[in-house]
Amino acid sequence: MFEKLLIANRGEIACRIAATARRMGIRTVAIYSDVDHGGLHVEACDEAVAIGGAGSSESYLNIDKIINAAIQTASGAIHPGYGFLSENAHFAKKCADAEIAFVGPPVEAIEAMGSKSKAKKLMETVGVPLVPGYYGDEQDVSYLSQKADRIGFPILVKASAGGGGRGMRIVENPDALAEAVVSAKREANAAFSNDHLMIEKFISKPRHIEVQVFADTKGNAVHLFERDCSVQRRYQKVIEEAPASNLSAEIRERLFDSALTAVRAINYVGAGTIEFIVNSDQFYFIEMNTRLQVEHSVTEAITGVDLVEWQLRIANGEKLPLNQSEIASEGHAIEARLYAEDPITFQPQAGIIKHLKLPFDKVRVDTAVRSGDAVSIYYDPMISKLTAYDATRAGAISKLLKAIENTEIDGLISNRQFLTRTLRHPKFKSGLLDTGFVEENANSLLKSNEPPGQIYQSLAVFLLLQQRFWEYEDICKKYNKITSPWDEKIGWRVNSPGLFKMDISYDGK
Amino acid sequence: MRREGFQILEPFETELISPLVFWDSKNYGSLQFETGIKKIKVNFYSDLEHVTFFLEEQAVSISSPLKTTLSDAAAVDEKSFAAPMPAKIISVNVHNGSEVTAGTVLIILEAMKIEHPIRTTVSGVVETVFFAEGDIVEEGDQLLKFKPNGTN
Repeated sequence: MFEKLLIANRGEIACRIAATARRMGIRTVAIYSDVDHGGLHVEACDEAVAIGGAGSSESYLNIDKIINAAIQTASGAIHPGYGFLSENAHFAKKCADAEIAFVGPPVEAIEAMGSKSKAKKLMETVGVPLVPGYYGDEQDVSYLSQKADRIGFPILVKASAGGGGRGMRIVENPDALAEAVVSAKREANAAFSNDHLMIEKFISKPRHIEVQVFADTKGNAVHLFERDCSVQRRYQKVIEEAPASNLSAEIRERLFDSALTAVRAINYVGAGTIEFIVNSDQFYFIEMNTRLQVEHSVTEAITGVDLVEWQLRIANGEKLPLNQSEIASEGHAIEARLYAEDPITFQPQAGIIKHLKLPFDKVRVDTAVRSGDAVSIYYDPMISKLTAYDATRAGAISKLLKAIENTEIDGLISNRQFLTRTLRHPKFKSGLLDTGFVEENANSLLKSNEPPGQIYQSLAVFLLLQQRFWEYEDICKKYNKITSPWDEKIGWRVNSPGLFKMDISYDGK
Repeated sequence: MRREGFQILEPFETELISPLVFWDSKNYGSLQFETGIKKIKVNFYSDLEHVTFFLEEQAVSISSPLKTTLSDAAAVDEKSFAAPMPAKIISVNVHNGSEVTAGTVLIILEAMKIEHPIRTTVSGVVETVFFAEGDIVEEGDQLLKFKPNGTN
């Protein structure tokens, strides 16, 4: 096993990878940008290298600086985490050139799946089912428009190199196609430096189910069951679970077969996820993510496997630790992503976390922020992943709900209330989920809060008075000033009860 | 650091009986009170200008700024086109003097790698654009000055 691992990432995933490496006796090296110098991921590693500016292109996406950091620290391997360079074939190649093990698939496998259009062509040849669409090189709007007419509206325009909803547009009618193409191209270019688009039939309200796979360099491949990621907002996952409920054993087996067919078709090595959309008894391949996923924790909960350990072993040339028949799934796990984002509009928030209390005693908590840390505009606004595990789905929901109810964040707005509302929703509890869930239940999930009652208004005034009194006391102490009631700002009056007027507001009202 | 604070000696709400305040630190603590039907314990975080109560289903923030802002009155009648979040400007589609129709995308912001188009809901004239492509804006920054048609 390599002695030292450089973790080319930040945030919770860098901390999570460092934890496994430490357990396996591998030394770890963190990299950090200027704004991350005090970050928890830096503390989580044995060594740390500063690699540049806050903007990702100057730091976490800067291949040369990262390779240099690995050489400088004599790191034998680089784990890219998720996001950033995790699916960048050029980076994987640069690692190989520098004789550093890339903890991920071979360059050819990243390339084969990196372009969604090429991946779909390849999947078609091996018999993995696909959504009707156009994945070719012709990018002219009028040509795409012809293809779209043939496929039938609504259609989905999306970036071939994309992910996470970036560079993706639903187009309801032919008139809106041109604008969608221009804007998707620009977003794709900015996010992935590649503006190639593809179009496909938009399947309304499918389920989003993905299969976790693993393969080693000896030609063995296994699956680690599925995850249901149907609860999404803005095409981004927010609650994921395993196993998927209300999925027949027959479809489940067919999904696993297709996933393993895909893996073998590209001689895959390492951890990967094959994403499908499922519409009643039909399913279609959407894409393969050639990396560890954010939501891998639910798979770890039901299988008891440490996926990062497997990644490291396979990158070290070892064979898969378990055969398919030795991998079992037990119980139910649900993960919620706690984000610094508006719970109604889902706009990302940035700022300082003044107060943070996470439910470490109740569920698995993956985080890299503490009270006093900043959520910056430069990176993903995730605060924490919370993963609950129980024998049953209902038990896991109830544990997760309890954990979120015990979570406290102040200083910036979080999606906490969206998560509690979702977990309490009868439709969510029923397990009959599809990607239309949030939109269809917007009335109950996304409604504004009632203004606080008299009790909380009164208590707030009391607490604010206390704060201002203390502030006054502290200032007096600091300047060694003799306290005189005439200097008080809290309404002291001679011979009558104190009176103080305070205007309070809620949500700017 | 635990800190001793005032206690509320008399009920200031008829339904709110004997609230007790416990400060775990200067900014964080819990309140216990009865509303007549049930006992409630709620944690809070507070500084000079706001209090947030952490209720089970949601957090409730109540604020009282020490300085009141003067800009509210000045912004009447003019659509403010304020940045809804800290973001980078990736595209400015108009210039000073541009005449635009309702629905036009004036500026595109990018935050967390997602585009947020800023549109106008009415037709009018862009009087001044305050930022250029590549600029970083803070939440609330006015992006441009806009005069709707039919106004002087």
